Amino acid sequence: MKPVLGESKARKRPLSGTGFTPFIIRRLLTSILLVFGVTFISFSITQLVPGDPVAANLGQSAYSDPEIVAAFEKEFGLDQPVPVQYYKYVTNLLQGDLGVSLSSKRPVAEDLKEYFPATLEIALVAVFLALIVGLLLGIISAVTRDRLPDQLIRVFSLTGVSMPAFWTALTAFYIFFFVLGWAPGTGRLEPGGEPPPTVTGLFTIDALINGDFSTFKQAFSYLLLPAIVLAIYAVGVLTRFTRASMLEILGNDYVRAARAKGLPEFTVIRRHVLRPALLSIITVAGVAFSSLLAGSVLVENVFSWPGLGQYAYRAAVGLDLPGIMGVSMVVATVYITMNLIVDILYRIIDPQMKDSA
Amino acid sequence: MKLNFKSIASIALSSAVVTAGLVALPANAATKNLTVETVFQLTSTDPARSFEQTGNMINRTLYETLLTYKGGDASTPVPAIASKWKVNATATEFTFTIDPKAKFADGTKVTSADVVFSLNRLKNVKGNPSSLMNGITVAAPNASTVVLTTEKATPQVLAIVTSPALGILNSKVAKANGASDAADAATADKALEFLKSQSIGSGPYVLKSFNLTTEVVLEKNAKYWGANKAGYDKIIVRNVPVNVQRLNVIKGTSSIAVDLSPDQASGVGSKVNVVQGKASNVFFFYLSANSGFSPATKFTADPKCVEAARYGINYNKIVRYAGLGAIQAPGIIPSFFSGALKQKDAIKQDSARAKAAFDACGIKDTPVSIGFWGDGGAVNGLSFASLAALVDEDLRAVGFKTKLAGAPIAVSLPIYRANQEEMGLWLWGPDWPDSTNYTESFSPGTKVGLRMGWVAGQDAVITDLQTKAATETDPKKRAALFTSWQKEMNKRSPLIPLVQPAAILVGNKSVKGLSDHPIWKVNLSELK
Amino acid sequence: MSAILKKFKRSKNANSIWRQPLAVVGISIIAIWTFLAIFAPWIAPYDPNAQDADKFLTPSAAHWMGTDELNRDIWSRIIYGARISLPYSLLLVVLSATLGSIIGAISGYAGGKVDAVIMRITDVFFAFPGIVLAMAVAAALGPQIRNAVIAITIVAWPIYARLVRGLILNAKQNDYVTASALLGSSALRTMVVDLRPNLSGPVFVLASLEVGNALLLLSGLSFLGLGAQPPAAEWGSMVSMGAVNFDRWWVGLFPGLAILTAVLAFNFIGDSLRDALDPRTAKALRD
Repeated sequence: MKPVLGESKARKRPLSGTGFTPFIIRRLLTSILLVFGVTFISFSITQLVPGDPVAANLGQSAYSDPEIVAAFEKEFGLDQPVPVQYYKYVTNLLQGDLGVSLSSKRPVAEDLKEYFPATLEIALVAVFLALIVGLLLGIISAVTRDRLPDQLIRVFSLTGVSMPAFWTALTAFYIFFFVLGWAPGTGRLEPGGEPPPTVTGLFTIDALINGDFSTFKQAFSYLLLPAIVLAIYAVGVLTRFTRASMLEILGNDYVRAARAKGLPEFTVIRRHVLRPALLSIITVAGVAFSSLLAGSVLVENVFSWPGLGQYAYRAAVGLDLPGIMGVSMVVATVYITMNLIVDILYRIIDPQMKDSA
Repeated sequence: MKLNFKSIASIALSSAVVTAGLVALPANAATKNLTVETVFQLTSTDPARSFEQTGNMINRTLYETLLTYKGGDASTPVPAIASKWKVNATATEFTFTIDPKAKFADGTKVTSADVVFSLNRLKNVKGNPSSLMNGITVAAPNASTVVLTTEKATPQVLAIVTSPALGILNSKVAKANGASDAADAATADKALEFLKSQSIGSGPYVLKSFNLTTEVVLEKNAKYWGANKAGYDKIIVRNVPVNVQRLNVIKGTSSIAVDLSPDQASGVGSKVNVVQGKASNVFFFYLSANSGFSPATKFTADPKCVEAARYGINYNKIVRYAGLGAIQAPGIIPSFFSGALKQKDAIKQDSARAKAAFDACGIKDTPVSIGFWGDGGAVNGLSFASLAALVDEDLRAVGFKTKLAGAPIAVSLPIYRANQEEMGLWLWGPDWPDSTNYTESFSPGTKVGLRMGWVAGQDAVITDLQTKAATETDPKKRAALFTSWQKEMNKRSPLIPLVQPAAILVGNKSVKGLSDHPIWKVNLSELK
Repeated sequence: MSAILKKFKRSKNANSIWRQPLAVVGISIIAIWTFLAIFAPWIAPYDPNAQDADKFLTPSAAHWMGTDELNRDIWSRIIYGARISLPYSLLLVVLSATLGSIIGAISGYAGGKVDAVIMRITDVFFAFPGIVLAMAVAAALGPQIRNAVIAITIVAWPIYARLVRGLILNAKQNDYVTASALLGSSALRTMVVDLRPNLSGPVFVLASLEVGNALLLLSGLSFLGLGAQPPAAEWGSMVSMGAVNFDRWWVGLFPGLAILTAVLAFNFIGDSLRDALDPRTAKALRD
């Protein structure tokens, strides 16, 4: 539901200073403030709703023992007043401490270190696939505007964004795993398969670093299907966005001028249309990427993919506040960082750019 | 060549492989592995803090207890770390002699100090299973003797010490890594992370790796002291959804599927064994109040309303839904425990009686809600939502204006525990394998009794039977007390036992020694 | 709705909406679903909650789409499911559009610090993983379709706020707003009388684009068990039953197709409406 999906231009924020350095500093500060805004809002909303995290995380007998309940509350600071809890959360956060998860009883940072790379891995592959397919379809769509290929691609991309991801995942799993037996099962590796020594946490990359090709192949075969399912949505978004940005540029005078010069159509498209459009397309890919991180919740559920989405789901139904905040922070930080990078890139490319919103 | 993702991947990679050159893969020595697939109910491998099925299954194998059970039995304790034991006449003093051969995986001898430390730690960390130690004091008169004492007669101590939560840790190593058994262990004990990285018990397997969401790997304890050595080099316990478990065990990708429902276990083919046991879980339904009550008022359901529900439910339909091997629960105590009721004692649907009772019951058109575990919660392959839908249909037929109010366990459980449900559909799995667990939990004024709005003093007959059963030491008399207690419950309590599902284990034929256990499900140590 | 459609018809590009095949397809699909929902008791071959001893019957002449684990007829449940999914996604969009428009209008009209603060708040919401927050809120409130709607509204309003604010900033530069301000109109009057007509079109188009998303999120929450409650025949929770019994393909396949067709239809309509809109506003919607 975010505009993200191809339709945000967060870069158009008011700029009042002119120098490059003040600009960077200002943008950095805003970004950090945004991250704190995210902690504040997630904290308040989760506090406003009822629900008893203690009962959620203690068993039958333990919950009826007041001593055990008190010990649990003390351990996780739940006996403190809410503002104190938030103050503590923020001061700890400044030291890089995200608190302890109520359900896994581990530091949230440790949990995220484990689950985030798993999601990152499928999301990266998904965005990569979506970028290739989306660019291709978008270009075809734009140059054949309103003719049959354009119409077909339009229906195709609309279908992509209309498919319920959890159902797509289920159907794909049924066909490729159950019926055809092409895809391996659930999870990231074979049963008892040893993960490569952790460097990045991405099994494929770590396996390559370690020169272990059999693990690489295994990890890759496991991640392909979830990544494709995740990519379907992003393909729709990127196709539509590519088409729109290209059409916008195709209408410009200099494109007409280039055509008038008698340049071959292919060259016109490549040099005068695609190149200028590329940056904004990549922007959207970046933003779509951060929304894939959150969108993975429904897909990971089907593939038992031990990633951020599964972690978020468990945290949410377990009313595990530190867990929920941790996930929100990570996804928000990725989104904000993407926007920051894009802003800076635009500023470098076009220093004259001014607020136009 | 069969086209699959692996081959696509390998085609995509072939160029990379060529440039990188051939990489020698480490040759795998022939190892005997066992893959067990289950939906994880797991928090850690710290015995004092773990009380879930998967945790019990794993800890049962890593940490030995004083006594244990063999196979699928849950009534006759057999020696484990304790080779001999003695109970005094009043069932208040239990003396255990530690097997002189017993050694931890690192070769250290198991002493009474280790037992005292482990049991006191369980009591004081105030974790989930700590209440097992309520009322029990541990002492060690000498290095090879441990004495457990209780204030009043507690014959079930022999059953309690078999719980994997009472697993014995190597106290020296534990203390060196932050463990504490002191009174303030709830905050002072810092060994949780350590115990997830390695195990320090005396069982036939040791912990190799622990991951809360994917898999736990156990490795053979080469120095195991007991006669029953490990049957496998490695046991991999994986977290896998039920439908995939089914497929993998058929394909032979895994050796054991733990969570199939009877329905799913049918038609698995001839390459696998289906082991059937009775689950120790009993699903039950209860009426706490008529409607619109506030939790502050101890307001109990109108007996007529309870009667209307009790005789309105179509138990046969529920048992059919539960599938092959499931039985109607005639009482709350599961069929294999002392004093369990027989099938002939079970309540039968009697629509006329139910309707008549409903006419006399005061709620008529008032809507009432039924709470349960809603977000896909399922145990033994039975989903709470489906069971609730079945009960709901029957109650509506009687005349109740019911409304289903399921919620994730994190939300619904607190409501249930705080006695804020008008009606509820839950299940009870024993904390320890003994019928006292039921009389002590469902009688008026006890834990679940209160949740059902059944306060102390409300039913003198039932409370009297409960008290007598708790201290009776003669097995026959105990059984008779449990039977009468349940019969009285079936007459007047707001509790309506529904179904005792079948417990199914599906295992590859190569796996020997598979039996279903009510507490730890699979005894990994026994598998060959 | 018809009034708004008429307005589109009158505008320059407008009548093209009826000439766009996709829009016509979309409107027809929604019309069919609406018809099925309204006349469900007469159309559905079975009671959607009727259970009996059998289970998981494969699709046949008696049960076109088979039956589920309580032997309920899946086709009948899908028909009844339209009574949940469609109205609640529309409600969801109406709620978040209203909330977002009000906030956006305040922001745009007030300007200055108020505007800055509100816009930073919307920034925060954009940065937020909406589904994570929605899951947490829905779980804590207790899963009910109503609570799922509340949870999603909380995360869905900012997109409208941003749109409305942008449109108001544009309109503010127009002479007639300045004029009416000079004539002493109250802020509220200016907003309601003078600006509303300029806003309703774009907001309506955005809302139509968002209905599909709303349906996806709502059924997604139900799929996770955080939305509609049993025995309600909600499409998302029906798919989740298919996920548990995924070798019985018909259990999850058909409810998923129901979601897909409905969402697709809304997206066809929304997309065509946007194209029919004048290009400048269409661009504002894309931004």
